[in-house]
Amino acid sequence: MATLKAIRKRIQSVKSTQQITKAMKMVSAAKMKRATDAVTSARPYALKMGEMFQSLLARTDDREHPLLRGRDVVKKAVVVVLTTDRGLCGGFNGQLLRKVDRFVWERKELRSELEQVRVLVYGKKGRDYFRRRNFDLDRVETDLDAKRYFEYAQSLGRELTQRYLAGDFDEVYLAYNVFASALTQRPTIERIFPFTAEAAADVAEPEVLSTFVYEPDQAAILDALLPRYLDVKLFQAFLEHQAGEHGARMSAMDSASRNAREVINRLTLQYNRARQAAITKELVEIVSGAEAL
Amino acid sequence: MADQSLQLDVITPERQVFSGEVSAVIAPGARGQFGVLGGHVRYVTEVHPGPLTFDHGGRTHRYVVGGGFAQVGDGRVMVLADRCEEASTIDVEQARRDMAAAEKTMLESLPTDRAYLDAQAAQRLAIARIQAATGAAASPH
Repeated sequence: MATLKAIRKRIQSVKSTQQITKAMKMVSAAKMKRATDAVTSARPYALKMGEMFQSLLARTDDREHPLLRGRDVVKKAVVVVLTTDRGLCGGFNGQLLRKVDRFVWERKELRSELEQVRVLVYGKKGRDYFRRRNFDLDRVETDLDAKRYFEYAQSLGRELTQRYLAGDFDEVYLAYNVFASALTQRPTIERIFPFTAEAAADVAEPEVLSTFVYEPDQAAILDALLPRYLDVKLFQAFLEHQAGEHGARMSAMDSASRNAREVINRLTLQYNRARQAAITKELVEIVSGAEAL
Repeated sequence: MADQSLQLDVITPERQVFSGEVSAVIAPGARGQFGVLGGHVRYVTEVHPGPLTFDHGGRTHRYVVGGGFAQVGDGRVMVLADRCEEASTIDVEQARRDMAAAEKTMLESLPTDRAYLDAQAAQRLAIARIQAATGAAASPH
């Protein structure tokens, strides 16, 4: 039986843990609010940009553009993975990393010509995971600053474009958590290169499409739109990732606080029982002492 | 056809800047300024840094847009731009400093450099902002 003092000490320590988890929950809630505002206000732009891009793609022969044309033999692929620097956010990183892990192995199993699948990682959690498992790490970016997400997205877009064109990779994927709600984040893997028209056929009727006038011309617009579209897409992914991180941390800290309360309740009960037992024991001693006289 | 109204949407990565019915839009396209009235042909163009003007609610609104794209068709005009701000809110001094900084970068780098191209875009935007803010920009239309 634990002594009264030991139980009291444990209650104290759980209480201070609870205070921290509560504070972290509040901070994450505030940060998530800001991050979700950023995601939702950026969505219309990304959406419209996507529409414009897709309708343009539908009218472009994808063999004409090096970023749209798939390579016949895919030997080298890269997966860009967005994870967090810090933990205490539940299964946020874990679920994504497991998905990437499975994805990489499946690719390697299915396609024998695939010689190399590398990972390009943002965040310490992803770095540690892939290092432990001896993945082929391409580049690692840690200590991410939320204010610089647009810069990251832009430089990543440029780097991927250059390296894809240079033949460093034959396929480029992006893995991140889509922010569905504060409670749910959906791990997602999307292909970045080669670009593909998503359901291009049902964008609009072909005869209607042909009536667009392009200035300067279709190819020039596509050349200008592609990098911008890529930036927007990557930036959107960073925003979703950020909002998801705070959401995941908030719910993780919420359940941690709740668990702490349960532990405190249990310990308090144990403490009261022990206290009562001690009192009863003392009473019995006094009574039996008196009887003996 | 010209009295048809248009639905104009101006969207930047940060927010939806404007959405509403307008009677006419003048925007900076790839080959200089272009005007849109109701019944305009379906049209897609690059947008270069410059003034964006439109008539809404009985008065003329003046904005400055950064680079981007515009799509016109079916009574709708959609402008997607890096940035967009109302002419009256522009800080002219800041714009002048931006222009000077951009010109300095252009002098120090080769015209084939990425930095040069970025600086050139920044310079054009700064010029457009100064013109819009000081009212010096006479619309070519």
